Amino acid sequence: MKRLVLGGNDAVAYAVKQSHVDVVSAYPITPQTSIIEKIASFIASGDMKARFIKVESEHSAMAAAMGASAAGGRVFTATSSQGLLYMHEVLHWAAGASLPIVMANANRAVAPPWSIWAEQTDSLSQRDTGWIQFYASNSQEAYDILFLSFRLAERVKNPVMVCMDGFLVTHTKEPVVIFGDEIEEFISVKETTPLLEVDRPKAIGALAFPQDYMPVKIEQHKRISSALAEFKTLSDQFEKISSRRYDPVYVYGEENADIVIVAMGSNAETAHLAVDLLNRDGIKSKLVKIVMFRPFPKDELIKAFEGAEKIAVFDRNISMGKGGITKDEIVGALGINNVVGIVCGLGGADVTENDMVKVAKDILEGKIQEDMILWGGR
Amino acid sequence: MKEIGLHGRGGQGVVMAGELLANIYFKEGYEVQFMPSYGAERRGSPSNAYVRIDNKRILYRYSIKAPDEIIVLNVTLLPNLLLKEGGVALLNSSDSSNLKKSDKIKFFVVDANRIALECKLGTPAIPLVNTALLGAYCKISGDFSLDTLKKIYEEKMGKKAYLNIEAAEKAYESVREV
Repeated sequence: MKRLVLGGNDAVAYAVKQSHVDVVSAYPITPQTSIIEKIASFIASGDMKARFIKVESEHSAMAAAMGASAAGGRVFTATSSQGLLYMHEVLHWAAGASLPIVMANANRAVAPPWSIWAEQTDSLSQRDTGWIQFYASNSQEAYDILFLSFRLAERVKNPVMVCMDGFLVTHTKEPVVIFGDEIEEFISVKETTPLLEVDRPKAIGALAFPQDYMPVKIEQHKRISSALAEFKTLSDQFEKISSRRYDPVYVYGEENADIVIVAMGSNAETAHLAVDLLNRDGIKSKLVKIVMFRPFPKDELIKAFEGAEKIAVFDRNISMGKGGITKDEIVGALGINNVVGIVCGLGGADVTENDMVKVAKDILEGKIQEDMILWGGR
Repeated sequence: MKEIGLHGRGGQGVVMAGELLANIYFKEGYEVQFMPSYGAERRGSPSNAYVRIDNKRILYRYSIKAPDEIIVLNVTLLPNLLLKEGGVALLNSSDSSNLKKSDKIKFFVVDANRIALECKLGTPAIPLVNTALLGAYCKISGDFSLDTLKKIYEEKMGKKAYLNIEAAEKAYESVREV
């Protein structure tokens, strides 16, 4: 193992290189492009043995990934924002066909106005496509979760999306532990079975009348839901190799907190600092980070919120006419009423630890009682 | 924690300088975070990069507005730059006579344009001054050794490293406080 200074995009490219991927099909888009550029250079130099399929759009990138995956290959692609949205229809197809494709998404705000900066509305608006979704908050997580994602996708036969906030994770370079051969025993296990076989012809996605459609969808829901338990099993194996632990929900700070800060992606890094400041001021606080968003980690969140007086959910995303998306998911799944949603950081706007501390204190003092939009002008 | 801003114009190697600086500090045993600021990338437009340095893992995930120290590759940008009180500014300049001095800021100058051209880095229109300025920064910060800088240049630049090392050494020798 060695430590290198890498951005999230670099880290993802290294993980793909080490994951015995057979096919990469992708179309460039900022701030994802440096992932596939690096992969293309690994393939060109012979450091990575995979087929790179250049396509004319994201819709085709996912269609090509489906074909390669259906033939039994380990497949990777990457996109962002407008590209992900252009892929939308095929995302449903890939998940419905139980294809274990792994995709990195650089979270970028959706136009208009045109923006290339961080926001999670792009991938959260793909919430219902049947993809497993992870949110990495730093380069190390992006690297590690990629390995776990290939194994998980193949174990549960479901595609996985690994999301990183644009620039704040994708391009922010920091020390990352890169595996040598240690990862081989974990990542060389392929549980892929070709959906399409020459000797056993069949069709995928045929017409299903109502009596057939429901059972297929029930099966699909069970399949993706099983990812929570399977992730833990794989995470146990991964921890033995790396000494790093990944759970659907990550917790930092004090038990029975006066205030819980919930964050996903890059905000969760800064939130550590907010929790430290609050605890220093004698306010018991805790960070709850959502690492796995789909399937939704309801039981893990119930446990993480035990004894919490107030919960502040910071969302770098928005459902227009409703508010923060993870806040809504939490309230919907847990049926709790001590939650305040804070929409913040849209289009790459800064969210600082001092912003979080102020909101937390204002909630505890009763100054903030309703969901809000945090906008300090930078 | 220390925050360093690198400011220049597209084509001068600002982003490269930031990445090199982060790697130099990392090799010296620090925790580092390199945060380039992306916008409309093109030659001649302002380009900024930032490096955070600490002894523990760096968790800040937002932009730096007023760094502790700035390395300015193009002094025409100076009126638009912010710096913390008591900060340090390293300027690529041959002439400090027009500089508005302040008790609250320590200014250093080095003629990185001349050094870059002497070392055949870049063109007279756009000299590549990034690697020279890091040599000057090595001297004034005292945070890392010139030896570490050379190792990183060799790792990252291969065959071209020696010209950049030469530029860094010249800047190390000639940087002065004003």
